[in-house]
Amino acid sequence: MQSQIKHRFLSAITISVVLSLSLSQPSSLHAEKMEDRTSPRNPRFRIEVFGGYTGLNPSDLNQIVNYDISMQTFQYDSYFDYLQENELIQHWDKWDEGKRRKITNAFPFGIRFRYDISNFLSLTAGFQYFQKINSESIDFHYSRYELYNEDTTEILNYDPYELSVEAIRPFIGIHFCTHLGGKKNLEGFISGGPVFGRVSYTSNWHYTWQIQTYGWLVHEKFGLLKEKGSGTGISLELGGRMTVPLFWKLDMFLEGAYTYQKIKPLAGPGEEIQEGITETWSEEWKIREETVTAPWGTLIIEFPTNYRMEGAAVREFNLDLSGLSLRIGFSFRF
Amino acid sequence: MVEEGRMKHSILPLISLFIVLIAIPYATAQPLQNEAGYMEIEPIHFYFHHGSHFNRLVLKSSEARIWYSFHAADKPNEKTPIFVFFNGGPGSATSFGLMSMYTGYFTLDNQIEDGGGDSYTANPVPWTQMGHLLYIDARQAGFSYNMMNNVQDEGFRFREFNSQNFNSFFDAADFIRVLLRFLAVHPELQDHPVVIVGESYGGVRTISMLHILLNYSDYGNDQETFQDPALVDEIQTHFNAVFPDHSGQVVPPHIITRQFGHQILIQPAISVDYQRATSWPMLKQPGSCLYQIGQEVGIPYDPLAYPDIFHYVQDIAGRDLYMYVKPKYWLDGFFNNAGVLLRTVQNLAQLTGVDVTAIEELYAASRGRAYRVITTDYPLTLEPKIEDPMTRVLFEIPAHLEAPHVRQEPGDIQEVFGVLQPWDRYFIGSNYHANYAFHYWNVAMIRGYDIHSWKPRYGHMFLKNVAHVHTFITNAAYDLVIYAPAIPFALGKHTDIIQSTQHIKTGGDVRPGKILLNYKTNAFSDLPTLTTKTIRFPFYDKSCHAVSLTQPLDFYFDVFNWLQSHGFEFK
Repeated sequence: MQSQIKHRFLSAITISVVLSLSLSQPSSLHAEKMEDRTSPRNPRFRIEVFGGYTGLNPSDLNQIVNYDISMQTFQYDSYFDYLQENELIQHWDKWDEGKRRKITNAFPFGIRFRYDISNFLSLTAGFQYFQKINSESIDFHYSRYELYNEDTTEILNYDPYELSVEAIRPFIGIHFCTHLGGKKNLEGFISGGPVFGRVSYTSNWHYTWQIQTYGWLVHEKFGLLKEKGSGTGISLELGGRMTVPLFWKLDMFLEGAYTYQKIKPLAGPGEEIQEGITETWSEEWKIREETVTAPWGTLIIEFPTNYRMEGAAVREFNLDLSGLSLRIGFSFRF
Repeated sequence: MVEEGRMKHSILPLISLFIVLIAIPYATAQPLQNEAGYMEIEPIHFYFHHGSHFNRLVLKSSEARIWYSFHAADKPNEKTPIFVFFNGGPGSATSFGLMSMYTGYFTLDNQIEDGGGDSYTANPVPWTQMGHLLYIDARQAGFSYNMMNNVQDEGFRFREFNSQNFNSFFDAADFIRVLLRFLAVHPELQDHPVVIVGESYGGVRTISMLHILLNYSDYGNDQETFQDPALVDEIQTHFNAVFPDHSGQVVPPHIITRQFGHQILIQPAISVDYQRATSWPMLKQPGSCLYQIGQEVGIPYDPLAYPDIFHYVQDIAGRDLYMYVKPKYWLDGFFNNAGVLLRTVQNLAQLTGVDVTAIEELYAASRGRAYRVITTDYPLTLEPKIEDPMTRVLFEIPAHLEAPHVRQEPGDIQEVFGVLQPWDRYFIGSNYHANYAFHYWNVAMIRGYDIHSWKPRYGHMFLKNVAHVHTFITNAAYDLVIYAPAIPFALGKHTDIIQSTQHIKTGGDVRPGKILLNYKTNAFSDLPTLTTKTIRFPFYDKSCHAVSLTQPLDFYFDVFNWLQSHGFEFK
């Protein structure tokens, strides 16, 4: 884990430096005299807006997708394989559309106020926000061809199958500047602060079991599982950026950073509706383990939930929103 | 004198008060009366699971009115047992089975050998001499009926014939609910010992009922595959009343058996897959009764030519599978005759011992949301051919034989209670659609829950029940559907639990017979001292599947003596 963070950090620095150098390369040939920003003629305040891309892997949250896929594979695919191998059905087939998706990225944006203490040092304060919603409509059709009875099809539909994460990160930071000439700056920065995160999982499902020949509906079920959570953590960001002036008091910058941000504990409400019964709860998220035992095998699997269950949780739920970011922004001096 | 007068004046009211206080219990205590009617079961939420909470199969049953008939004991006392009777199927009625066959005050006449009898006669051995009798018709069988909204929609009705109403665990839960609710409204009976008497599939029902009762907390804490939390609460409430020393606690099985400590299984389905796996090879052995049948009918039995034994006996030899010395459908004839008789109100009143016209829920006007069948004309042709011989014999054939009466109910029951809606019926002996739901259109089974009634899991549960409950199983000579000599071997196939079994055919009884079960060490982790158990297994040399019909006196006296040997006192 530590080596992963170290690797990401080094990658962020490398990207930042390479980008900065590439942008600064032409102007470095015509280095101009450094402009004194601290002089009364030049403004010391800036307001900056930015947006970009961040790679994410909130693995504890994403485990819910692994869990759902594994559970469905166990309950359907493995079960039908077992039936076929034991000659309890002729054969079976499967057709699906759509897929459950994990959270792998987001598009953060933010605003930053900046005060230049000197040509080399600036203080910043601001916030960054992102929200990522993976909302899908998914269909699975499982057809089983019986030895004696009517062939039937089971259809599982999820609409939506939704996983979302949201975070806001207020921060303060320090920027270290180096003048590259041609009014271009290369900067390194560090910022930190709290991070407020929210997660949400929704599985709104519909199950039908039909006789293929007649198209009769043998059984139909609807269900909804919704779990939410929110919590607070700390964030620390380290990055580099290249700033180029555009016109008047407007600059453009490109920055790369690695953000460490982890949130725990998370707590929030949950709701399950099945057969007209609504159960609600509000608990802390945990990683729990289930041992599923059926005639065709056993599945031991971990999953995140805020539902209180018998037995101890495997471990605390950790919303890890750390990742590499690449952002572009505009800076206005005043 | 004045003193004396004063004393008289002061004592007389006290004496009067004393007399009144003494008399109150006698004045208010009504002698137990026969009863018949319906016990209402609200829609129940229950679920099956494999160990995953959010992937459990939650089901909600239909609202049901379950028919029961209570016959008060002839000489009741505070320890008089309550015999709870039911037949099998699943999906078959008790009214046209045990209730009509030598257990109550009146019975079909077993001497009429042409397939039944056209009236009820007095029973020479009413079980009311031993105790109170409670007959229960399973959900959608006999007089029991379900209710639903959108009842006129065939598609909706079709969907109700599925595992939310029909599976062996929920079926057992229905019977427990009816029993406990009956006891709750009869506080004078609430702590009486209960003897469960199940015939045929009733074996699986008895097993499931006792396993739920003895291990009830596991049916609400996710330990068992079937979970019915509301039932667990109801059982706990009952035990709080019956075992006040354990009120609010999980009552251990050895305490529970003070009330639920005896089971009588008539030709029972226990572990059907194993019973079939043992009985068919036995029957295919040279010298078996099949060869004898072959000789008698002139069509020699050849196991290679007739791998399906039931097909040979019934379709080739023309013999009754339940009574192989009789022509085919002989026993079904009795059931069907009983079903016809019960649709005449006078007969129903005679059999139940109550004025059935006072039962409001029987009237058409009370049954606006009632349904009994999917297809109103009950064609029994839409479903695919049933390949499993056991399932075919147990419900397809009886249902087809009964179908004409289901399509157009005989007797005067419609005249008395009104014409029902086309999807409703007053009486169905073997509900084909219900039975089909147990075996085929069952979402719990299609989703891989190992709950089919023929599975070894019921044998496993039985062997655990037997560790706590005194058990009596009939061994009928002429029954091929439940070929009783195979039962000890079938139980022996549970090799994870049983070291060996022994069929002891001799002994001091008039009809000797016992099964000795030798359990493996630590067969059940919560029963470390369990080593052996003995099951009473008397042989009925002239009997069919319905032992109470063919040897009523012998069966009665065997039960009488067996219960007496366990401390029951009968006058």
